[in-house]
Amino acid sequence: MEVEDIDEIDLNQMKDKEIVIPGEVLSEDLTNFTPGRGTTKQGNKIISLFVGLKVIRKNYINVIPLRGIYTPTEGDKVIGVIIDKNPVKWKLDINARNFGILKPSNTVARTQKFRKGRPERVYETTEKFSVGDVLIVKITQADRLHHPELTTQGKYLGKRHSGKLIEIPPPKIPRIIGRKGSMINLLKEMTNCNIFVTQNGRIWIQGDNFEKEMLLIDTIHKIETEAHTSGLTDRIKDFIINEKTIRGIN
Amino acid sequence: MSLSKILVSTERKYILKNLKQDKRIDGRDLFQYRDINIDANIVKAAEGSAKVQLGKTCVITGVKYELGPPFPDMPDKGVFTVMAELVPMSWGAFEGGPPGKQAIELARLIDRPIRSAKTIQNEMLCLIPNKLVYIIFIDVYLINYSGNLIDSGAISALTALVSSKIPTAKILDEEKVKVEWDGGYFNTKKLLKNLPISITFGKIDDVVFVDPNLTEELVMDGRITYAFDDDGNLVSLQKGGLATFSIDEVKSLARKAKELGDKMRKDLNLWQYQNLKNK
Amino acid sequence: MSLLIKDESPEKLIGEDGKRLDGRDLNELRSIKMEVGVIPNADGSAYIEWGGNKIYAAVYGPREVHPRHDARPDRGILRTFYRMTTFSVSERKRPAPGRREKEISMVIKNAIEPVLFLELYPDSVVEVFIEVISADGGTRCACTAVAILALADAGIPMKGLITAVAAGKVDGKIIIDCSGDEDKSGEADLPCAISWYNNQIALLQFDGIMDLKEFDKSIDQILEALEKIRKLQEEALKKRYIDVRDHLKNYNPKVVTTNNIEEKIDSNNQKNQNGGDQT
Repeated sequence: MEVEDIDEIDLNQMKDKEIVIPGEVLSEDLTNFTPGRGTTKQGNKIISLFVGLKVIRKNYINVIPLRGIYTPTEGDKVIGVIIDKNPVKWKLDINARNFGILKPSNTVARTQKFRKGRPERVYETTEKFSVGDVLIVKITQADRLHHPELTTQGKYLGKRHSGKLIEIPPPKIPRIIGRKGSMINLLKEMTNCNIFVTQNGRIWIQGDNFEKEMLLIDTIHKIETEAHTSGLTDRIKDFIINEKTIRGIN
Repeated sequence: MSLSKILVSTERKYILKNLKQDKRIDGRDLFQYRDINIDANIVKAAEGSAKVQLGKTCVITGVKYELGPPFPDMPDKGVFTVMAELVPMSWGAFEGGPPGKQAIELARLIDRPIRSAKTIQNEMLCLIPNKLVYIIFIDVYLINYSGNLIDSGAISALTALVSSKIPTAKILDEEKVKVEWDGGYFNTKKLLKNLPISITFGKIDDVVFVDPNLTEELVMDGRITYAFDDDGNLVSLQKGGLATFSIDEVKSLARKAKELGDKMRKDLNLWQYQNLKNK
Repeated sequence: MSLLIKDESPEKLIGEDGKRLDGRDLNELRSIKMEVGVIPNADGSAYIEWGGNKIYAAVYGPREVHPRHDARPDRGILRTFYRMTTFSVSERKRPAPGRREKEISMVIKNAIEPVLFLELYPDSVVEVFIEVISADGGTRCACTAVAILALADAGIPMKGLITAVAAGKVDGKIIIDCSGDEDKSGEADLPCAISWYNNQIALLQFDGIMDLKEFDKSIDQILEALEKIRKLQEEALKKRYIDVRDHLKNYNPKVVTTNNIEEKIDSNNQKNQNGGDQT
């Protein structure tokens, strides 16, 4: 049994999903249904483990939790904050139950710059990261028993020098992204801000002015509170248009 | 969440950048206070109690009394103490155990204006000089931490005091220290004279603003708290944190604090929470 | 230290008409109100008002274990902290945790831990902080009920809810859900919790004197009462989300035009004054 977010299950269907609570019997029909994520078999019943939304996919019954902690998964890009450093590693808070570990060998050769026509490697060395820095990292190794291993080598990864960090419950991240990225594209287009959404419930934003950033933050919190409702994208669109008129943002 | 223990480097930059343009991350003006919500008399067993919500900060204060001997240097005066507990429930970074430095400073900052303004008429709390006085406990518990505990704690302590129902006593035998409840309660309008209001300013770099919220409180360099009594006299002042304030700043902020405090005193009208039913 | 008003317990707890002092039938519960998501800083939180009991619970975690040697490599650990505020009882409680609080913390932990899937979170800790603001009999039952709500709100996977209630014996009769007075002067007190996934008893204590027939009867009556409380718990958990949906049911897309912009701005300004506290 795995307890993770289900981002592949699409939440954007028009009908409101049933809200279930821990221990609630989802089905007593074990021949036609199999317990999926967020559920377990208890005797001859399938019960829910979370406060969440009941989603039936083929013959699997799943429960998508509405709140909960992020479980590190290999390949995920996450936003971390350095909480401790020593000569051999940095410890990063990645909003999971354990901190992640970033080794200096996983941070080198991040970018290439051209000087006088010749490529020159720019290294991110130990001095460049200090406690409190915001880093976008990728999880290279994660299992149940060990601290996740991180890297800053890759596209979009590395330290953020400005912008703002927002936290929301990780299970609500799929709604910020939307089906095939529809919601996040809407947000980007309408507020003209840079947004980087990661699976651990953190969102990094940067816009060209404060009012737009404020509007974006308010919108994200609106999505957060209404994450379990249907027809969200349309409502958010109306919300942004109206708020723009009210706040006088072009 | 778990981030609370450390300072996020971008957060300070972001807040400061906008503060320099007179903008705050929650959309307030520099000298705009958050909304205050007061609920008095929420605990049956306590003599007085109050829940104060300042934005998302939530503080619950209870008032209890006991009878006991006075301090030797004030034989004919009652005693009162303020205790504050930053319980781990209220924020991820608070730890259990006995009150730490932060909790003790908070308790003393709530205590000081009440003591300096002579809010509690403690000569009324004396039963038998040298032998028996009232001991008033004002215990402040934090439920949710979202900045500016000094002001919210002070308001909740005052509200709890105003709403309290402390029984009065008649003396049966002064020698044997015997007293009995006479069936009545103190009228808090007589017991309390003056309700000092505290106003806290935060400072980041060279920008000063009132009523810091949690993020601002975490990244700010320092704070300064003023308290003024009903007559407009300064009764308490404390600079906290590493920030330094210029002489002009200290003087002009005092006037600003007085202005904000007067307005808040009028808006809150704490006397409305008096427990009139039982005098 | 002495108090003026002595805690006097009434001689008879069941009146002539067969009703209890607060007008309840023998097996009638007090009014219960539950709410989740009350402490924004916590990962999960809940609040309960059960008669005169007012209790907050907050869950933090799963997070790193401090001190490290408490951690277990194969499963997460659960810590429960049951604490009472100093003013929650009639005689002021000392601020440091007492023996009673430590015992109850453990009893609650033992009741809750078997239903949680802590093996999913090795090397980490889930902490439940319970703060009793006002106590009026049966706090350990109310605390168990509110703690499991906070855990469910935090998204900790669990097999099912736990519900608790106490039975008692006063004036020779079995009663359900003892109030503070009945607890103090009753002849017996039987707190009991059931975990619904296997319908078995998760918490059981007994204090007093009772014969076996009465014991059987109390257990049966407890079961009846528990079903009612369970419904309230389930409602409380769903309410947080259903309220949002109900609110949106009346949603009609309204585009701001020059005609209605002013009223929109008005409502927006009001909203800003009320809220304005983001982190």
